[in-house]
Amino acid sequence: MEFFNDIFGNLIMGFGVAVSLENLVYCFVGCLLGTLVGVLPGIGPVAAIALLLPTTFSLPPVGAMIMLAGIYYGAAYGGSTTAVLVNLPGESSSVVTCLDGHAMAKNGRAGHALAISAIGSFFAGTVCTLIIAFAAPPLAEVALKFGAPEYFSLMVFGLIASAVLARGSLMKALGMIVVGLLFGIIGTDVNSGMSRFTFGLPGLSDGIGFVVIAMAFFGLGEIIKNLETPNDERQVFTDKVSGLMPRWVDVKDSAGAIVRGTFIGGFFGTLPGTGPVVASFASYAIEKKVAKDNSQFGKGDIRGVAGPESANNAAAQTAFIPTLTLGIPGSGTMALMLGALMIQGIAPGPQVMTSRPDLFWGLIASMWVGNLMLVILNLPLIGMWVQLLKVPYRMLFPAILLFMCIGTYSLNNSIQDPLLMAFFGVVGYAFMKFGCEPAPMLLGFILGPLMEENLRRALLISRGDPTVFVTRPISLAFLVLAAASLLVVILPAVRKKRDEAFQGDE
Amino acid sequence: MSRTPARPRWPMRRAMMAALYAAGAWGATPTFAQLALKASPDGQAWPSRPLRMIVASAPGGPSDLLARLVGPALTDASGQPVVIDHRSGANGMIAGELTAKADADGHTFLLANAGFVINSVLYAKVPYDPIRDFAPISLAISVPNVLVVHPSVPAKSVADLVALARAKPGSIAVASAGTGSSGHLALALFQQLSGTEMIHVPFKGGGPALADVMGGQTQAIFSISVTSYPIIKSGRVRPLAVTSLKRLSAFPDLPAVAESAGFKGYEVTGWFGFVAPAKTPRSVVQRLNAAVVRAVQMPELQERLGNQGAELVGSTPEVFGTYLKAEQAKWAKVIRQGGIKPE
Repeated sequence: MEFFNDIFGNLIMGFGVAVSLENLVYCFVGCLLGTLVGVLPGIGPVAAIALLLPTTFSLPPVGAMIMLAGIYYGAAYGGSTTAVLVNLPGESSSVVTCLDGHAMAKNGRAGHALAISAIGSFFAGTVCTLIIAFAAPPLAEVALKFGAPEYFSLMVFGLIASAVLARGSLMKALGMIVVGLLFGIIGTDVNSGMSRFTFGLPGLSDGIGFVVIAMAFFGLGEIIKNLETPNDERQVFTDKVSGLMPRWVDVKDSAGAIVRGTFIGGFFGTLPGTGPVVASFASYAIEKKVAKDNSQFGKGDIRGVAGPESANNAAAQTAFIPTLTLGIPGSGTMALMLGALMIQGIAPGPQVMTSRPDLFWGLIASMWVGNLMLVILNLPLIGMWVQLLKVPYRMLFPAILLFMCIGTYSLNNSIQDPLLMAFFGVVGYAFMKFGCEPAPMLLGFILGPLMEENLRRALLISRGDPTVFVTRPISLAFLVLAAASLLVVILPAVRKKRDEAFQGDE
Repeated sequence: MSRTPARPRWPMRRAMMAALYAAGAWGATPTFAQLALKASPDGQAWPSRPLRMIVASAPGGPSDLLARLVGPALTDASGQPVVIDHRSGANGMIAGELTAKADADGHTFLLANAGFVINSVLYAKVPYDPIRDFAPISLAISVPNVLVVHPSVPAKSVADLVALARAKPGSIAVASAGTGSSGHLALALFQQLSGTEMIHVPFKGGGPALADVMGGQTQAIFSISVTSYPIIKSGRVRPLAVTSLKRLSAFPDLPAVAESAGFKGYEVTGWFGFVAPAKTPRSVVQRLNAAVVRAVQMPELQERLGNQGAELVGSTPEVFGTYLKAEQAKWAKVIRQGGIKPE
């Protein structure tokens, strides 16, 4: 009981810090700037924070961290906005949002997709704020239990589950996963330091950026496809935009997806490196499995937006757990947040919780305030975003192209990335013509290199003994889950049903 | 496509950043005193436009912190805003090549790290020569590693760890931030001097590597002092020794590896220093050096990096030049002996 009293006391103290007028202003400015920058295609949270970091230098430490957290949420939310509106995932975790979110936009339901995304994100943010307040240290311990074998088995599970992402033929989906794996191994091999498929280009030695591939396959592919149809016949978005405000029926339909997404995201977010991506894919896969009628998935099912969007926001939130309790950043964004703490003269790490309780609890409280602010800020903005879709396509697509080039250029300040995007745009268009979906490819692209890295690391540590994958309980559990998913996919009876469900549109 | 343009360009993001810096806390407006200082002794106008500091690593981490603290000091000294240009990638080789090919007029310089020299002996194809293509400005800070083990490892000292590794060769897995990182080379030299065999487990970056040791998945790591300081203080890992030649003021009780038998002269430190393209005028190098040295002496730097185990150096260009050559010779030998060339 005392434990709960302590936490409530701390939370109240935190809210005392967060809702001071000054910090509310920082939070609002952060959310607004983050949303505006995040909406630019290709500029996700990492770029947004790197760009806006200097503006926080002159602020007091608590204000600076609150503003940065606002930028972080705002940018993550802005990324989802572009995914829905123009099929451009701003970051890896909003790839899944493209599938049904953009389909909804094409059906004239962009407003509903954005609204449910805001509501789901807010719910996830609220729950995860409480999770961080009550359970951050034990969750951090669980994250530390994940060694190379556990990560490998988790990736295996993720890849197999991703077959569910396929909208068309299963064979093509598996083929695209392999293509993704191949693209993913370009670059320097972590274990040996060797360059693979870099053709002597220094710019390829770190591999191809996710944003480059995602924008090429989703954004560019979409644009080429749209331009293919003659001007007068082209109807990219329907003229009838049905309602901007969230409908009660949507909320009711998505409630289960939001709750499941929140907990899936909350768990995966604590795992450094992989969290939000795996969370959003896992959430989508689960929603598609549990839905009674899943025939609309991929064609604009609101649950396919609500689940993954809640999951990626939950994961974005719990990503703070290893950062705050262990001092280990789980992602590039978190590394920047730690860097910001150092610039403010605070040595980041586990002692922040005790040495600067105002900062720690103020930040936690401001997470919730930030999430609330995003909803308040974004629900009215939805109308404005949807208006964007009424801009004639001949004017819209050059603008999107321009922003995509700026976004990819800003990744490494190098012309190479926009060029690569152009190249893969053509590749992506070809795949689209053959009816091959980009989503499974992207998952292979993200998970493949991580899978290889952890497989080889696990075997290196075990001195070549492959039994580590089944003798460690967490690893074994994921492998069993993977085997179960595989059975579901290949069992003939189930398969027939699956084909009915997935090939209905062919 | 393979080569990044050598002439600096000012695309939107750079311009935005410059504007942000100018609008932020960094006073970009030159005072009269600074304007008076502008003409350098040999009559060249320096600086005539904003300075561009290329940083060889991604934002976040010690080099970013150093860049952001040294930037304003350079602005004070030159009266020009300093634009920080992060060019991570290819182990810093992209940043190195870019700087080597930039105009040598003192407006472009590189915040280099230990990898700047290590690359030149580790990789077969390096697009720059760290000695020939650059004019050293100053070794700003030196960042030693701390050898830490998971608390479950029975070793309490360097000698214990060596004994343990000798008793069961290959039983100790040592994580590192990546192939050719300062922690990897610290391990290689450690094994060569002690004749032990341990398993090197490279990660993508120091954070995940340290987390792996905290979770007890791997047993030890040579981790950079600044990053590991709070983790060591929290008691999650047990420090055995520092890799600097002498003890560090941040860890007064911790011996140097060099104090143990058989490790005489053992020294592996990461560092951050400034270099300019080779033909940069001498007078400009001197002025950049003076600004860096003054920045390094700022109390903020001591408070934010020095107290966590970094050593604030601020050397002369000559001393830094000698240091770079010595580093290159040292690592060429360790890498050859250890057979750790990837290509």
